[in-house]
Formats: sequence, structure tokens, C-alpha cells
Amino acid sequence: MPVATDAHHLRSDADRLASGYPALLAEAERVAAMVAAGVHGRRRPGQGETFWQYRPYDVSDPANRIDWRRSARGDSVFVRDTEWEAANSVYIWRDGSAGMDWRSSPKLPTKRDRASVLTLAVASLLMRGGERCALLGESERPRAGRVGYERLAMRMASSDGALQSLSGKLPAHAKLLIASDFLTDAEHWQARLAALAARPSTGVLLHIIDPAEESFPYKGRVEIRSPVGKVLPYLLGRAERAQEEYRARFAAHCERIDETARHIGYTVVRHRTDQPAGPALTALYQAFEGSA
Amino acid sequence: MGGLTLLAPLTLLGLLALPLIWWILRISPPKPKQQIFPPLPILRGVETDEETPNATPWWLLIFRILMVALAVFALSLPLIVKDNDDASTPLTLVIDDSALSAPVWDDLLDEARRQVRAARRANQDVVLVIGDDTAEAVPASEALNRLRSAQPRAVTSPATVPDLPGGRRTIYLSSGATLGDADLPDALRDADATLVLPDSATDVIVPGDVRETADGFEADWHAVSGGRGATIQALNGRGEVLAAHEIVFAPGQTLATASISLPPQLRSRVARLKVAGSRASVSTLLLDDSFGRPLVGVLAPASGTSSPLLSEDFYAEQALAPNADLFIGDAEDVLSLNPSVLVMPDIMSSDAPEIVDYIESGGVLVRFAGPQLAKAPDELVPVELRTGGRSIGGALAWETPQRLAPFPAESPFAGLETPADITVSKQVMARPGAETDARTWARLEDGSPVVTASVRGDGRIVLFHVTAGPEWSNIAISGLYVEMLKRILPLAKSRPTVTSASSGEWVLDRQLGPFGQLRAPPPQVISIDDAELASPPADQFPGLYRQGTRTVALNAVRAPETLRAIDARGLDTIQMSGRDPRSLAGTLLGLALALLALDMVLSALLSGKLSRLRPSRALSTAAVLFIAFTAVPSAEAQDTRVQDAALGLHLAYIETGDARTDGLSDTALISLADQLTRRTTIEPVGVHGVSPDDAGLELYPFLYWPIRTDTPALTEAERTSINRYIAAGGTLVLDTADEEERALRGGAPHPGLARVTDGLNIGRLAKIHEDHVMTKSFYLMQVFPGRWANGPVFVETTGATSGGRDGVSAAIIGSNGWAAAWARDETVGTLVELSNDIPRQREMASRFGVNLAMYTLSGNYKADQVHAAELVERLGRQVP
Repeated sequence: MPVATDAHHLRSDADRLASGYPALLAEAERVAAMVAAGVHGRRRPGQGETFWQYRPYDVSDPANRIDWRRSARGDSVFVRDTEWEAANSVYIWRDGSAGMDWRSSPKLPTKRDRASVLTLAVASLLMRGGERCALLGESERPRAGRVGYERLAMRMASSDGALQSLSGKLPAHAKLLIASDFLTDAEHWQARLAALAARPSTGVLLHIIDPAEESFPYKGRVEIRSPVGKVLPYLLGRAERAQEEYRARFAAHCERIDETARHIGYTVVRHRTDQPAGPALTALYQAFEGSA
Repeated sequence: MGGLTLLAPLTLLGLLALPLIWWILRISPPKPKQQIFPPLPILRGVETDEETPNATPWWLLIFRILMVALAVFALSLPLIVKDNDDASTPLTLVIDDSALSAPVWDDLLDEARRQVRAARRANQDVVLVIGDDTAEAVPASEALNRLRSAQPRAVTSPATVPDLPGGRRTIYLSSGATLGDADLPDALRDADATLVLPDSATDVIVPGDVRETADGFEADWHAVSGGRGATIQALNGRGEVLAAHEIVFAPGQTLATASISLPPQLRSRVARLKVAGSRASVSTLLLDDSFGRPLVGVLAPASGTSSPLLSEDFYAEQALAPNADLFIGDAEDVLSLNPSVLVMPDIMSSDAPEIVDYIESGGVLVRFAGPQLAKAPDELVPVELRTGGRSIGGALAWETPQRLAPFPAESPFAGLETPADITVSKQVMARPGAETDARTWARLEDGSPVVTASVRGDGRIVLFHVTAGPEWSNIAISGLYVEMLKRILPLAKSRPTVTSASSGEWVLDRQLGPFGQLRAPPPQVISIDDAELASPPADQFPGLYRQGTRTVALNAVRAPETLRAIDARGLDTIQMSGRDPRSLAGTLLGLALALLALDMVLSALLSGKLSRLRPSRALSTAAVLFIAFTAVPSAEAQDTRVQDAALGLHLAYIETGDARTDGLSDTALISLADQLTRRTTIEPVGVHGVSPDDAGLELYPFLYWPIRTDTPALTEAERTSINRYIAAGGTLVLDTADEEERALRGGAPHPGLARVTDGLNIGRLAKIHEDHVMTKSFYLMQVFPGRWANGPVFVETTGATSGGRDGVSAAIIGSNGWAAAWARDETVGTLVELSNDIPRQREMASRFGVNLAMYTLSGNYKADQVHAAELVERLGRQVP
């Protein structure tokens, strides 16, 4: 079962990464009423385990809700309310396009692998804190707990991260984690992200970069091919002459993503695959904590 | 080792293109490095106007230029010429065409062609003198045509070479042997000719004397030099080998003797002796009537007598003993030995039926008169006899004993002296008449016949009108008696024809051709008289001469002991090299192609295609390439071939080693297989090319075998293998494919065919007759066309194909070039133009192929159908 093996490796990598962190409780939003019960106190009466208040009995209350111990101290009858506790749902999308499955050097992980590890690590942290996670457009519903995490890891390993999944079912006010290099149809990403933000939703963009994509180290006569089929190759007579202009263009690409994120209220975490994953996880952790 | 000649030197101008190639290689950039890069959309549009300068390594540059130079050099058709002959000097070629050249004639002509071709390359005229042609310069191509039809003469007399033009390179081609004291023609010495001789292995061996021994005979053979061996074969009149004997010429010895022992019955059938493997009249000894000790039966009373001098048969026995093997006894004993001559003294007179049978089936009866015959003549006499004898010169008679008249010219006794002291005192008398005159071989002086003879059945009766003993005449105690009986003995073997020739001359009956074949004489009468026969002139045609009922052989070599090497003092002598100039074009082009393949590997290496392979894998790739280039058919392939042939019907042809011929054979048989599948129930699976010593030949119905003039003789293993194939019922289809040149050979045997079929068990051949099975085995046809339609087709006679062969001939021999007509390529269409001797020739050729396959596969099945109509008719007659 190669899929299970992949899932296993991916999960153990992610677990190791996440183990050094305290449980991350994504800050709950006090939104939609249909959000299912969870562990966040909503500071209002509702279903939960934590005591919230006693209140005078109302005729609409069922008789079995009367707290007889409190009522026996006086003449009026009281009902015991608990605090409404709810979990937040985080939707994850990891780009699986052909360009992601590439590395400039055999010593580096592919962008796709690194993105998978980081997203699973975040999911691990979130689920340990009681949050529920799902793959956008692929999981049928968000799940929590150890079992839910394993299922998520399994699905991630077999996921092809198609662009169509971005328009999958997404409840309003969900939180999103989008990991990609934002290179596939780069000019459309602005529109896609705007559509997601209009659901409405908030979230984090994890921008994965291979070092070669940033530095363009090629020299001499090079024929550049696209990893995606049906794209004409591009012949460079002297690649080193193109380096400067390319770097400027790539910087502009990153700037455009930053600007888009600022517009829609997302946070951007940028990560190069030749760097350790830890700092990026920290940044993601802070981003989820900070996004209110 | 010689120099190098370019046939197309102008091609070397192509070398001028090398700087251009160098320049192109310099400016064309190497193949770009390929790099996958996801942010391609971002990169696209970034302009880098400059190209990377050339990175072709200098060694690759040199390698490629060398490769092109090699190819250009190969295309200029370089030849390695074998000697340093100054080819610019025009050539005079003199060929000794005496019969002594016949044993090495092929070698001489090959060498001559080589020389003339060299002259053609140099674009020069050639003076070609074959024998006593006039010395006249002709274009080299015309000289080649003349060489094609050149034949040695039948006689051994040296040719008179005409005066040769000076200032030319003169080459004299000869067997190196000569007879008598004939010196080289002066013209050759004047022209300072170079003698080109064949290597001594093909030396000339000529026959000498033949002596009879107690159990056979001995034959002397002469050679130019010693230190070699040969096999002498004794053949009968039909060319079948009766005996063979190895002779060895010891070093320094030019004489060797073959002693052949044969029983008397076989000995009398020996018609010629020849050197095995040589086809030349000078290596052949024709034997005539005088040869051999015939087996003579003498009838004698069973009881021995105490006084032999009084018995009749005693004298006949004594007279015959020097020249014949005698068997004495009564008719029953003697006839069971089937003697060639039966002697019947008067005392044993009998016309018993077995004696009549013996005469009518070819025997010769020599009969003597006596009291019994005189009293009661029976029917076994050549002429009618009067009853009672005639006494001449008795005491009471007027007449004196008569002497013999000289023998008439048409008599077998012609030429014998008649001594004056021989007299006849008593004889039986023949009735006079025209018939009696014609049948008389000897007369008395008064004209009465004393020896008469007549033909009876296939045999002959000779009657001496006197007794076998001295009672009636003293002939029996004279030397003449011995000579007369000796003259009669050969008649037992000659054909009993009566000729009307009455001149004293011997007329050429069968001529011995230069290659040892007996053939019809030239149209004009060639004769030689008795006196000349003893020492015939050198230019007398060899062959069998006939006079009346007698035959004498005049052999090609008349003074064998004078055989010696040509005295070549003062002239250069070289051995034939036997090699054509070798063309380097093929080798060099092949080398250039190999370099091209290597260049591809190098290119792949440079552009990084191979870098992805690990070194070990690159090595193994190279190894696989190498093996693919040098792969040879292994034993395993052979096994698969035999297995394939056993599992499905395959047609097969013999590979000659000549790629064009083999390719044509292959295509032809594939096309034939296709035609067979379409038209008949024979559905061959494929076609195999085999060599004569391959295993599993018996799996093929026939072997198509293209024979060329230079096809070499079979090795011993190949001969055994082919004979086994024939014994297993296979058929060889031997195709010389030279119908248009067949006429030029003038009836001489095809040299390649003669070499190939030598030693093969092929029976007697005959031209295919018009109701042969092959004319109807599938299609009805009377001609068997290929590229040509007129060539004769030979098959074994019906007698030879009986037995286990089911009537299928072991060999089908033709010259029509069948493969050329069958060959049809799927893409190109027909491969060879046909001569169109007959309408729809290609279709008819296909039909012949179908008939051939049917014939070889189904045997005499169709022959049985010949009688089908008759059988049906008979059945119909029975029904009512």
C-alpha cells in the first residue's frame, strides 16, 4: 500500500515538527449559529460542560433541567445554564500541480513535499487543540481527534490538489490554509483568492519557493521547459544574461501576492525549501493565532 | 604488393567541401541543455540576444572531418592493384590455344580477362592473339567478348604466332607444357614476351603406352615435372567409371604407371582412360578395337585326346592364345561365360538353339569347315554352300593347290601380307552370287572364297572354308593364321554395320574435342590412309577413325615421352596470381558508416542524453551495439532453421556468397511461394537460404542452385551432404542463367556446372521430353521459360529415376535464369527485364515454378493420370 506508506511518512514528519509546540487553539469567531459544539467557550449560555449561570425557571424550560440543589436553598426554582462551547473548522488546500512536484537539486525536498509537511504540521497542532480540519473540496466534512487526523493525512497523501478543489464546499467564515507556489496561471490567482475571501473566509497563504526559482542560477545555452505539457519550451542563448531581469520579475510576483493578501485580509507566510521547516511553522502558528 | 588506383579520381574534388564542413560545424551551436523550470511563464519574454559561442570540442571536429574525408575517398573507388605493371604500356596478349592448354583453359582465360580488364581500366586497345589470329588492336571490351567464345584447338601442334607489333607489353599465356622439340615462336622472343604460367598443381598429364598384364593392364602417364599425384579412371563407352587407380610422380620422375586389374569381361569394355578431374583431350586415352583381351570360347570334344596334334581345336587354341583369354569346353560350359567370340571347329559343328541365340544377341561365331560341314551344311553359315568339298591338287587332279589372293581393301584382313607358301588343297565351296561376293573377306587366287562372313541378328558369323587344323590347308600352321584371328577378335566389340567404303582410308567417325568429349566430326570428310596412321601428322584431328568394320583410335598426344616444359630461356616467367585487384570502396564506406554510428553516440554523449545513464549502463549499451554489429548466425539459428523447415514447408536455395545472386534467389522463391499459395494447395511457410553442407537439407523439396562460371568445386563434406540429399529423394534445380552466352560456349561444358556436379550421384541426363511429368504436373506446358525461354532443360532419364525416387529426377538443369523471372518485389514490382522470347513469358515462368514444386512434391502422381482417359474408356466399355 504505497499510499498508506506515503501517508505514514508524511504524518510522522509532521508529528515530529509539531511536537515542540503547545496546543494551538485557533481563536474562535463568534459567528454562525450552526457551528457545531466544540471546546471554545462562547461566553453565552448553550451546550457545554462548563458552568455558566443559574437563571430563574421559565415555563418553556423542560422540568428535567431544574437544578434542584440550588432551588432547595430558596423559594424560587432555578435552572443551571452551561457555557456554549464551539470548535472552529480549518480548511486546508495544498497545491498539487506539476510545477509543485519539482526541485532544483536532488538534495532539496520538492515543493509539494515541503508544503504537505507544513500543512499537516499545522493541522496536527490545530487538531490537538480541538479544532477540526478538512481538505478543501475533498474531505466530506471536517473531523477532529486522532482518527480524524489520520484520515486527513491519508487523504493528503493521495490528494492531487487540483485547482477545482478551491471552489469546493466551504462554510461561511471558515478559516483557510492555502499552500502553493502561485505559479500556475499566476494572473488568475488574484481573482481566485478574492472569490474565496468573499465567502467570507479568512486564512493564511503559504508561499513555497524553490531557491532556484528565486536565484535563477543557470548559465549558457539552456532550453527552458515547463513541467506542464503543451507549453512551448523557451530557448535562452545565454541564461546568465537573463538572471537580473528574471529576479526582478519574480520579486514582482511575490509583491503581487502580498498585495492581494493584504486586500482580502489574508496573511502570507513565505517559505524557501532550502530552509528548515521550523521557522515557517512558527510563522504559521502565529498567523493562525493572530488572525482574529 | 602493388599500387593504389582510383577509378573515379574526380570524386576527390569533394574534399574541397571539408573547409565548408569545418565552418558549419564551427558556427552551429551545440544542442542546448534542457532544463525544467516551473516559473517559465514569468521567464518568458526575457530577451537574451547573444547566442553561446561554439562549444564543439576540437576532437569531435577532427573526428567528423576525418569521417567525411574517408567517405569521399571511398567514393573515389580505390583499387589495390596486385602488381606494378606499367599499365600505361599497351598490352599484347597471346594465348596458346593448342590442346595442351585445355587442362588449364579456365585458368588461362581468367588470367586473360584479368589482364584485359586492367587494360580497359586504362582505356587502351588490346592486341589479342589466340593461336594464329592476326595481330590487330581491338578495344578492350571487344577483346573480352572474343575471350568469351575462345576455345582451344583439338590438336597439340603449337600455334604459329604472327609477327607482333613492337613497343607493347607482351604477355604469353600457356600451360607451360609442350611436345617434341618445338621451340617458342620466334615472334614471342622478338617481342620480349612475359610468360604467365599456371601454378604447377594444374600440371598437364598425358597418357603413354598401355600394356596388358595377366590380370588387367598397365598404363604409362607422363608429366612435365615430378612430385605430384593423380587418379586415373578407366571408363566404358557410356562414361561410367569401371576402375580407378592412384598414380604418383616421384620427385624428379616424369613417368608413372597405373596398373589396373580388371576381370576379362570388364576389361574388354574399357573405352577410355582419363585423369580424374581433368577435362581435356590430352589427358584422355581413347582405346580402340585392338585393346583388350577378348574372352574366346573354343568348342572342343569333352574327352581329352592322347594325340593333340591331330585334334582340330588345338591349332585354333595355339593361334588365339597370344591375343585372347580362352575357355575350352562344350557349348553349355562355354556359353555360360558369355564369351565375345565363339570358335567352332568342324568336329563340334552344331546349330543348337543356344548357339543361334548367342549369335543373334551379339556374339561372333568363328567357324571352320571340314568333312561334316561339307557333307551336311546347316544354316549357321554366312553364304550358301555346295554340298561336298572341293579338292585341289590331288594326285589325279589337273589343278595345283591354290594360293591366297591379296586381301581386298574392305576386308578386316586388309594390309596383311599373303605369303607365297600358303596353299589350300581342299575347301568347301560357296555358291557364287552377288551376295557371296559382298560377304567374302578372303579369296584364293582363282577367286573362290576362303573366308566369308555375314551379319546375323546382332552378331556375326565368320566361316573359314578350310579346317582349323592343317588337314585341308597349311594356313593353320602359318603366322598369317594368328594375324587373321587377331583381326577378327575386335569385331566382337564393334558395331555390326556393313559399310560400303571401299577406299583404303580411315575416315574420322567421332572427333575428340579439346575438352575430351567425343562429338560428331566436322562436315567435311577427314581421312587418313594406312601408311599415315602409323605416324600421323601433328595436325591430324584426334578421334575414332573407321574403316569398314574396324575402328582405330587416334589420340591427341602421339609422342607422350617428348612432353616437357616450355623452354623459356631469356624470357620473364611469372606465375598466375589468380587474384583480381581488390576494391577498397566497400571496406572504406563500411568504416565510414561505423564512424557515423560512433559519431551519433558521441553526439548523444555531448548533449547529455547519455549522461543520465550510469556509466555501467552506458558500457552495456555500447556492448549491445557492438554485439548487434558483429552478430553472426549461431548454431542456435541453424537449429531454429531446421526446426522451422521440419514444422512447415519451406523452399530453399543454395547461397552462393554473391549478395546479388542470393538476394535474387531469395526474392524469387518468396514470390514463387506466394504464387503457389495463391494458385495451389502448396502453401510454403517461408524461404531458407542454405549452404550445401548444412544439416537438414532433406526437409526441402528442391534446392534452387544458381551456378556461375566461377562457382568453385564442392568440398568433400559438401559433396557428401548433397549426395545424401539426392539419396533422400531431393531434387537439385541447377540454373546456369546464361542462355544468351550458351551458344558462345560452342557446346563446351559449363565450367562451373562441371565443377559442381563432379562426383554427385546424378544419373544419365536427357533433354526433357514432351510428355514428361513436368509438362503436366499442374499446368500443361511445353516450354520452361525463365528470363530466357529457349534454353534446353535436362532431367534424368526415366531409367535413372526409378527405384525409391518415385520418378522424380535428382537434377533439373537449365540455363533459362528462372529466378530472374520469378522475382517480384512487393514494392518495386518485377526485378528483371525478360527477353520475351514467347508471349506472356513471366506468367509462363510462374507456371513452370508451380509445376516444378508440384513435380518435386507429388512425384509421378500426375504420370499415373496419363492413362486415366484410357481407363475411363475401358470402364465405360464394361458397363453395358
